[in-house]
Amino acid sequence: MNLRFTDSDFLWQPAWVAIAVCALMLAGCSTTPPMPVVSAGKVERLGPMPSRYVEPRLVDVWLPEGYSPEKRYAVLYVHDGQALFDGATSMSKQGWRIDTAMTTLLKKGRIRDTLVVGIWNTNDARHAEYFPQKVVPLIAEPQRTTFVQFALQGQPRADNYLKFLVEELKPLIDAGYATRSDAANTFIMGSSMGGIISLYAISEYPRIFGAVACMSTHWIGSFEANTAIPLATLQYLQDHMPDAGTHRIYMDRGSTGLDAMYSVHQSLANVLLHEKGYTDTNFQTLVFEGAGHSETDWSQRLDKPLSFLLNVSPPAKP
Amino acid sequence: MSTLHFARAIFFLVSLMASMTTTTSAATITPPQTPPPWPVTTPNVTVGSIQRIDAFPSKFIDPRPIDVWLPAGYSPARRYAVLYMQDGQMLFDADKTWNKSAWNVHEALSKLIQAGKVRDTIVVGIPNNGKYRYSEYYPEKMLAMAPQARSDDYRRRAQWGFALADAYLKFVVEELKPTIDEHFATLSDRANTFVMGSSMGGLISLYTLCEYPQVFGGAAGLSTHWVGHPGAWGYPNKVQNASLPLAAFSYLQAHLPRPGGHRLYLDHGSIGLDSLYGVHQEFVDQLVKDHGYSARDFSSQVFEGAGHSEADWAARVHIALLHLLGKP
Repeated sequence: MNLRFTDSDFLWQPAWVAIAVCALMLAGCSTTPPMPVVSAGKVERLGPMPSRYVEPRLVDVWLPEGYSPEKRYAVLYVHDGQALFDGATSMSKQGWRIDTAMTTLLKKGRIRDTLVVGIWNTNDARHAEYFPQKVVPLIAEPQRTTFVQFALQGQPRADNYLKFLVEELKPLIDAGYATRSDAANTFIMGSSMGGIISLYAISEYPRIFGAVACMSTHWIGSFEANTAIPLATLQYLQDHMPDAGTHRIYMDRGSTGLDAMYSVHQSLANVLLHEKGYTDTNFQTLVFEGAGHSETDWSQRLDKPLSFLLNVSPPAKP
Repeated sequence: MSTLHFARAIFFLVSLMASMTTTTSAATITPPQTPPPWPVTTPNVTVGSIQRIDAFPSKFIDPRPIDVWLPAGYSPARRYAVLYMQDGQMLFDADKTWNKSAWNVHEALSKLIQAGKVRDTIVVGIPNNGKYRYSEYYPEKMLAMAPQARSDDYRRRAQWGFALADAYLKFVVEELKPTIDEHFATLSDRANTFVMGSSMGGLISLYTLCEYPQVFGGAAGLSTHWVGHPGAWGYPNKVQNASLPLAAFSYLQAHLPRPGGHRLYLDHGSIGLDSLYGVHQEFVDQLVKDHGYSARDFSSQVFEGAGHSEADWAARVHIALLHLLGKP
């Protein structure tokens, strides 16, 4: 089935598409978690969204001020959706305040018109859904067995999570909103484990996603300093990084808390990306001295990844 | 008794040289190089003495001279630990090296022995094979873990088609070490057998330890060349890479000796080629610690301002020697 249509076609689409989106929005209104309060634009809630691949979850779609189906919007998919706005629904009660950062950049004309799709995590399965599944077999033993058993609850789920994203959610978003659905206007982003799954998403689906942003990428996978998991991840990336000629990558880290453990692995990843042909024009890697591992830290630098990903005129291909 | 031992050693050396001249030639593994990549005469040393075994024959690699440095007062009545060193033509006599620079390892070691800080040790210098240095020194099993296209390219352009590291290790373990142990007053056990080198020599030294953990009790790599690529490929962009380091780390993950029975020393400077190593060395430090190595068994040092030359290694070799050969 083809769910893609343009807004001028809207009235001619099968009614069930509109009904499905409306039904999901209504279902969203009746769930317990409160709607995020945003400083500008508005949030529409889809969900709990059913899936053939993963447990149902909420999806919050942020529309910028003056959203109009007459215009066309790039789409930024972001993980850990409950932490993106005011933080009322996040575990830490802190939020990225992405609505504020987006609105500021849009008003300055620094970024293109973009919708933000926040995909909630399902607390219990977060690690299993966000840890790159194809990395698992590359982890040396005995670390692999322990990691799968304790961190992934025995079952990696990232491939199914990405199928949900690409096969179910994206077609629905493209059907229900005035999007630009091509890779050059489809972005993915996250922090910590959300950074790792974003990197995995662009590697697995390079024709869907054109650029990625990873804040405080959780290279160590588990919660202890180790080399087995980062080494496996880097080996996966060595073989699967998307082509540098057609993709862009943003990465960063702080220097305190968990972020202090990322330095060595991020540095190695930088060397790998440069070897793969990424240069200053399509790869930005930043260090925020003193920054830690929290939504507040990410909120304070959010303008950097957003400007890089969504810049008005993408750099010319090398 | 000691005179008898010494006489037997001399007899062995003489008969070895005689056998070399009567045999038409030892098997040549790689095409001959002119001039040979090592000095034709024995290095002169300021302290101790050097006994040269000329054209040491091998089933595995090209014959080459082996320089055995004996500390002052060497006596067959005593027993000596053995330190095998790579790039043997660069160790003792700056007048006979291509760049007029040498490690002067004998001077550093003599001072430490006299101060009672390290055990009595002899040094066995094994010269590198010139054009085929990357063939003999880049660890074969590490290269096998790199992506196929990268390893094929490396064998072709850096190794001239010859991958000889495993053969080189067989030469060291099966041919050279038994000869040294037979003809010098050595402590031949693992706890007293060490290997050390710099740059590519650091990689092959670490590989030696991992491949023969029963034979070697410690390894030192100064300015370990994790990036593998020859500097001649173009510093820094064509030299820096992650493919070969990732292959090396995967190998180490699987083959680093279990902790407790081995000493490991690694370091780097910060200038020139050495400026490329920090990112990789930091990862290795974490990896070695993950394997359970204690601070006594593993030392990793950074020398700010140091570059990639024999003079740089000479200035700090005493630190590596102290870590490896310090009394237990």
